[in-house]
Amino acid sequence: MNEQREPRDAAPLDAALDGALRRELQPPDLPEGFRERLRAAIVRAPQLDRERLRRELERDQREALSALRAGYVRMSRDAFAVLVGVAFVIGIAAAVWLPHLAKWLDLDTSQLVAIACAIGGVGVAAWVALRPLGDRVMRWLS
Amino acid sequence: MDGSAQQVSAARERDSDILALLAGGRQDQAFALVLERYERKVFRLCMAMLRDRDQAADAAQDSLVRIWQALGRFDARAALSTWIYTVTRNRCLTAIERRRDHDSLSDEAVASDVEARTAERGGAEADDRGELLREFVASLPERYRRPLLLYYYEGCAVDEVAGMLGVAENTVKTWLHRARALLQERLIAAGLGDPTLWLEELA
Repeated sequence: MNEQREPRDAAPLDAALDGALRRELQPPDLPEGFRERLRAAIVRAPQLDRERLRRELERDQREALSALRAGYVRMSRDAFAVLVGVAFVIGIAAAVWLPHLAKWLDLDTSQLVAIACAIGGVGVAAWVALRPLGDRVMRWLS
Repeated sequence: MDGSAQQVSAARERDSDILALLAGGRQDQAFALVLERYERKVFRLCMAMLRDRDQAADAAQDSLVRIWQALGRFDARAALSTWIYTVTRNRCLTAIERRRDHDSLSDEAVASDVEARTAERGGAEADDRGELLREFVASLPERYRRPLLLYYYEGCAVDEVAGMLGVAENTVKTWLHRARALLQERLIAAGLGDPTLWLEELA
């Protein structure tokens, strides 16, 4: 145990300090009953591990569910906000530009609204129909 | 063969009986030998790292339970002692991490506490000198305090301390040198008269 001792410095203070530390820093004894408690913990250990594993799995599942729920709520709220915002912007734009546009195209406002809705509908249908094709093209390009 | 390779080889030879028992599938007997050889060392390492006796006992117990659970799968790629100390250190680091936000004092806080106590006492009585010296040790930065404690706990075996802390022997020697230098500085700064005489009167 003592085969690799530090070379002791000849300085008196260093020697005195080394001696004092040897006396004062005694190794701590094991706490009373340590071995008995350790044996009991070892007996319980496999059960503890299964129990811990179950708790960890349950906790992970709870966290995943709550994250999913939070994400769903956030997405619903965002979608609703976007919908309201878009409707508001379209309403404003229509109120401001539609009379001018009807006058410029020499059309009735109701006709113009019908044409705009038809163009919008065709646009949405085309987007839905062509999106898979677009995705494939993008994948091919990338 | 360099120093660290010799150290690993010696450590492997020392625990060859445990490894032979493990190879023969006698895990219980192997663990009994592990306890006989390492139980106190594991506790001392926990004490040096955690400073608190109850927490050290918990950490030592937890480490030894983990060692028991994994002993059958120990593949002897590293020395057994290295593995045991690594498991223990990791357990202690986890405990330190957990309590960091609660009750742990920084090195500076401990040092200023010791200075305040020293000032309160003025000239320390002979009975208190040992306690004061231990407080000076407690006020050292962690990287110097741990090797210093383990060095004296383990009967001044530098190789054992290096194994426990997972560092090279030369690193331990450097830390010990700095720890003693810091202690000397603090003894002188504490105004305890002649520090050499003060230390000699501790006996």
